[in-house]
Amino acid sequence: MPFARPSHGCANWRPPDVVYPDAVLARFDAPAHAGPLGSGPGELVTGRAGGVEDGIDVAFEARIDGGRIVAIGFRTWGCPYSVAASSLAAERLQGQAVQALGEFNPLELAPLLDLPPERRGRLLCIEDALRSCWRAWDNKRLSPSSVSRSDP
Amino acid sequence: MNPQIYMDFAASTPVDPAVADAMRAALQGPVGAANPAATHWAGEAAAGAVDAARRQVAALVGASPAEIIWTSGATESDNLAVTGAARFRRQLGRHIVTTLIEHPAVLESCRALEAEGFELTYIAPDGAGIVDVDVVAKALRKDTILVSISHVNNELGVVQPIAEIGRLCRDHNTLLHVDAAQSVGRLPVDVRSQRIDLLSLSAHKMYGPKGIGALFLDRDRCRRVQPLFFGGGQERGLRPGTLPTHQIAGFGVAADLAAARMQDDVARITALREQLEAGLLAVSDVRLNGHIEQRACHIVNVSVAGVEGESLRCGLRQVALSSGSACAAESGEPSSVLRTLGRPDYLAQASLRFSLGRTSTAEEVEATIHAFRTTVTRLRELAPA
Repeated sequence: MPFARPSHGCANWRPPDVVYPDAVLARFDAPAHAGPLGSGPGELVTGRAGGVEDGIDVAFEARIDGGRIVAIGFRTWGCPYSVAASSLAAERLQGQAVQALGEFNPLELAPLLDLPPERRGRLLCIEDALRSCWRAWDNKRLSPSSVSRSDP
Repeated sequence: MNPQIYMDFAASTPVDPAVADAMRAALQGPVGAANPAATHWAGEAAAGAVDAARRQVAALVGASPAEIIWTSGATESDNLAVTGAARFRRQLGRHIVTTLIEHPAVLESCRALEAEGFELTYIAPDGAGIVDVDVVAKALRKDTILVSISHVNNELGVVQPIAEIGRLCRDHNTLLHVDAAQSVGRLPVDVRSQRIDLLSLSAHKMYGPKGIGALFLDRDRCRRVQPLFFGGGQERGLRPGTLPTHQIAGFGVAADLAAARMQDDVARITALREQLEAGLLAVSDVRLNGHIEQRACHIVNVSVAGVEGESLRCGLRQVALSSGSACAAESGEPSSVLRTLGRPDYLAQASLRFSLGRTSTAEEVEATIHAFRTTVTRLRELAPA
């Protein structure tokens, strides 16, 4: 279609680059708990939420042993806030009781990362991914035959 | 700490030392003191500096000095050209043709005119960003009074067929306005052979100072436009206001240098662009935006699959560049230029515009390629499979 209306008034208007807080940059540049978990003790559960349309696609892996989260890793496609929040959530959950996967409220990370209000939806996706891990654990717990234990 | 690299010459260029020297000189003594409109000896000295610069800028684009109007920059020139020409000629017609990928200074001016009752036709370029002359021809109507198309698109670097469009507009007796902010000093611009009636120029895109620009008005076809400002007789009443002698003097020297150095600049910057482009495109799933041949020497625009745009820019923050997107933190709105080219939003949002200039070096290009490759690889590894 050679003739059309502009999709919006400013064809190539762009805002100034977002300036990120140090807490975000530190975790974006060297995120703790990034990547898949290697082999180890306990049972592995995974959860994923979001998508490109949500501005974040986040997946967590948690290894549960003795009722505790002995290892947790994340993978995130998203803005630097999303990467930093995923990393910080993993930091907070490492070593916690497994119930924390279902109870952790990522919104408490917002002030620590100086998260702009319009980015809070990213935290809800992180919450969904962690809840998905919790449900996976719960399902495994209720169906012991389906639980696969990985080698230490 | 990684070295900081400047690759945003399409946004603005450093002031050439010779330009700074000319500006400093123009700020001193009677030239610096006087209002160029004053009729005493000091004012005449300042007016002489302004006239010299007017000759230099006019010569760069093949115009006569009397056809150059000083403005604050290309944005004002675009506003004055589009709204001024349309309003002045409203008795002749109310239809204007432009493209979907114009600079906001043109598009927003067109929107203002639409609110006044003018009718606009926005032409979509092809998938490579090129405006088809036949499509322009089809858009022209009996009441078309103005066509406004940029010479080089500021986001993609593609070069539009201005001479052909100019011929078409002359045959149709329609004015042609061209925003040449990105092309002057990088491509030959000649208002006569390209049949351009109004031409917008900006000093800071060509190693001159910010805050000064010019509008060429063809003396035979577009002698007058309706001014945006009122209250003084400067610039034939078309752009009243005390002339900034030092900025104008700097613009004049920048114009001289652009003409003198263009051939060397283009050869050198083209080689750097090819080096940069080869390095960027060697990374998998990186796509060049814009026509591969029909483009200016200084801009490389790429889209990167599999990474989020804001993180891509953050990972490359030691390189001063522009995103090819308008991804606002609030709106998440990708570039409408890339959308117009058919890029999906997720790809348009992960786009970068690198632009090279006179002071760019091969070492900077290599460091940029390394930073790009490292960042893209890291972000892809960080993303869920």
